[in-house]
Amino acid sequence: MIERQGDEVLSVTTAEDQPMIYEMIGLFMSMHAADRADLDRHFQVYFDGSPAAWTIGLIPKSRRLYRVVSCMTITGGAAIDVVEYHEPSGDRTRIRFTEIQHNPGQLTDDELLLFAE
Amino acid sequence: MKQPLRAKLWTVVVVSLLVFLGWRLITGIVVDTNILSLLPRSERDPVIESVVRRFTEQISQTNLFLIGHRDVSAAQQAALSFGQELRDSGQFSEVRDRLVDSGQSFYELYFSHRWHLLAPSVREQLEHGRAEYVARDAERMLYMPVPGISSQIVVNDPLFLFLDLVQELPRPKSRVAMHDGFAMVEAAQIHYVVVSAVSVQSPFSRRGQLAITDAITEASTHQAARCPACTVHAAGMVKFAHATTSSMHRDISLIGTGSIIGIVLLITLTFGGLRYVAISLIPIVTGLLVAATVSLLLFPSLHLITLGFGASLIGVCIDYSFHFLCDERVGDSDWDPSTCLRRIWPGISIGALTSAIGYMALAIAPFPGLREMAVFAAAGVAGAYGTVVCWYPIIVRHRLHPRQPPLFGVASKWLELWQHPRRRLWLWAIPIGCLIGVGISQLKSSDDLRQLQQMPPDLIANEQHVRQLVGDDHAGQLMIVEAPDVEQLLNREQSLIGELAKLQAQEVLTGFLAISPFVPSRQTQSRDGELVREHLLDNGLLERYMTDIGFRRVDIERVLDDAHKNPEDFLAIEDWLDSSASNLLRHMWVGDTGRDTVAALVSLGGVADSAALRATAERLDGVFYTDHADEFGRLLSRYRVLSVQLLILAYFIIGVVLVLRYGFLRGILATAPAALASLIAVSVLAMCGQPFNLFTALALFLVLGIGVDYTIFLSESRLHLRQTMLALLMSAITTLLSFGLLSASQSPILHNFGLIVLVGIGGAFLLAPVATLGRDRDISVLPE
Repeated sequence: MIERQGDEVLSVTTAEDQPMIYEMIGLFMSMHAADRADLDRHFQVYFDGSPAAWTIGLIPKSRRLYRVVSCMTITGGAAIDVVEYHEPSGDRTRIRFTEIQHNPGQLTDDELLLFAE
Repeated sequence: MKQPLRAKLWTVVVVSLLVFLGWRLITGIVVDTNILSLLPRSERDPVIESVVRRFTEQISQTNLFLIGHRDVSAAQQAALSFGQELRDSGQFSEVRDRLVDSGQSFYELYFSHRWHLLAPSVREQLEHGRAEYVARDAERMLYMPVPGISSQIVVNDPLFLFLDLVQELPRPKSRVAMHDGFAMVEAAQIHYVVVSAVSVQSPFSRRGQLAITDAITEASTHQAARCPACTVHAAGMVKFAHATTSSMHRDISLIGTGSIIGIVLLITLTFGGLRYVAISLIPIVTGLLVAATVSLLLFPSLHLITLGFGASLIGVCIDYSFHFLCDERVGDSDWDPSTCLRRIWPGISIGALTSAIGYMALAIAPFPGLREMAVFAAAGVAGAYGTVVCWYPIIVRHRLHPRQPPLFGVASKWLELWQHPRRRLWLWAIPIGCLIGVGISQLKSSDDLRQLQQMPPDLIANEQHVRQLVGDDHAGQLMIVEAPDVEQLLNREQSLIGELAKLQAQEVLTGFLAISPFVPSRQTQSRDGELVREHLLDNGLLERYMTDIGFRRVDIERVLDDAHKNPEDFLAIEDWLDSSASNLLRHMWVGDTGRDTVAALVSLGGVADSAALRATAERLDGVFYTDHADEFGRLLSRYRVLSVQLLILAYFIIGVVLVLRYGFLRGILATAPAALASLIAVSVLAMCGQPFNLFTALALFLVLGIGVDYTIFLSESRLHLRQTMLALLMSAITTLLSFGLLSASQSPILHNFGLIVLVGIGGAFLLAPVATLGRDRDISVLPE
């Protein structure tokens, strides 16, 4: 995982340094890709709503994950709008996605460079 | 002293020793099996020495197990039941299968100190005036796309100083990772849980190692029954100790039984009759009794090697009875016990004395184990000698059935061969000269402790396998830091760590673990506090950061108040020791040394260049470096040289004594056979590809003690040379039987020792008639 702010690389995290964070990132990825098989392996999955406005609830199956996140909800319509983590302590982390573009005609040069990595 | 009185006195001595031995047997005798306890405590500072000893003791009592399964939770379940089984056995004081969650304990210990106990990276940023980087990193943490930072932390430690600190605390370099409170490694798709257990008893006591081994075997068997798909690997000193002890036990019973059988056969054949066997066994039994009792009087425990060495004493103890019995067998028709004793008395007395001197010379080197052996052997010789002198004239009152023993002819023949020396001497001298020349040129010396502790290769492979899986390369190498008080100790350790980090960059070592990163000195903590005040508080950076992020004013006030509070409230070593956060490292704290100083250990991993580390330790105040194998090697080498010098001195003194008694030529001729035989023995050793070590030198002392006996007996017996030669032949055969078997021992020390004595005593016997060469011809040694 590479973190950037502007042009500067802030940190590079590898799976060996932070196995926990990496696992979370893996789940984050499968959530976005809606990789059903991968999600089913790790979560009990619930659906609610309609295709235009839906909510998916994910409850971790493993004790280990459950201790970090007791429940995740993803809400969206045409695309994902909000991902919310509920922690056992009562803390919530809410990530909102805005200005989502599907298949933009042209990636900027900077964007191309990022994906190349 | 009248004979019956002497016999009575001796009976009183033997019975009282017997009572003492019986009492010790009932109260329990400790048989030590740790080869290291044979070796001297290094001549270092005694405090440092005891610190190192305590640490190695703890390591030797720690057992490591890997419980493996393809499935993580199955492996965890198996580890829990295995650990419970170890606990139930009562053999282990501390079993770690599931570890307490140390996260909470780190929070309790460190969180309140976050304003003056900084992570090294934060400290560096602040020292270089880059406080805004600290703020930026904190902001970045907030925006991580994954949860995990509790809101309690965010509002109380907005710069995540505590998280950074805990993150950067050093960890043992290992492949182990924590999963659900289990320490786990994965290899070849098998998940292993690491379980550790500290045994209650020492693995070096026979009782302890049997109990520990039984407990481990039982737990492993049950584990295999419960879960056939599980694998269990075990590592720990106890396995090695058990293997060594078992092989030594085998050796001792082999040598003991072999000696006894050989001696019984020899006596039966020579003297004709079991009555003689019984008579000959008496001095052996009393000799061993006296040896064991005196050793137990002087030493708290007996070492197994001493007992192995003692088993070979049988061959020496019987010599005195041979002189008596041979005289009886071959003597004149008017033989009676008191004239016999008068005849052999000078010979066996001088013989016993020189043997005792030879054994006691072992005690010159300050090796605890050797002192024990020396006392054991010298006491055994005294016991056997006393029995022959005091009891034999009472036991063997009358001559039994005179008969010429079959060996008598052999012994006489050998003696006769030497009576025309001029011709034959050259025949002997040339091959012996060549043998010695070739042998000595090939001689190598070695003082490697590891060679002396040869271990079964499968055990070593298993141990290495486990260490590899765990990724542990901390092989007991240590530095010790000592200082008048805790503050100076931590400061000294911090500067040592700075040096070690440089050495690590030069690949002198792969890692190290110390206490001061967990509890920095007050000086460091107070400097950290100043850095925080200067770069984060006084310039308003923290306040600005919190305002920018959007904290409520009340939270900002609370955090700033907290940061300014109690600048002197530093983390103390006692806090750390009391917390379960120090569980894995607490043993590195030594504390009070008993001489108004405190000490701590620094454990070193993967040391490639011990000279560089020694140089570093010498340069720094109060820092000591220890490398066991290396240090003992140098010690062994010094004592090897010393004992060779002592050996030459002993030959010189005995030579002078014999020259004074027998005149120049005969004195030299009486000393020469043992010296020559020693040279031959060393040559044979070299040709067998064995190194010359301290134990070789000590065996040569025995060759001196016993070999000189032979020539003394021949020189002292004026008219009964042939009887004496028969007695010598018999004693040489028994000595060779016992020491010959010693050279078949698995233990490298006993093997090396046995080989030297085997060849040395054999040679000394064969060359013994040289002592008769200087005699006047007219004694006409062999009246037919």
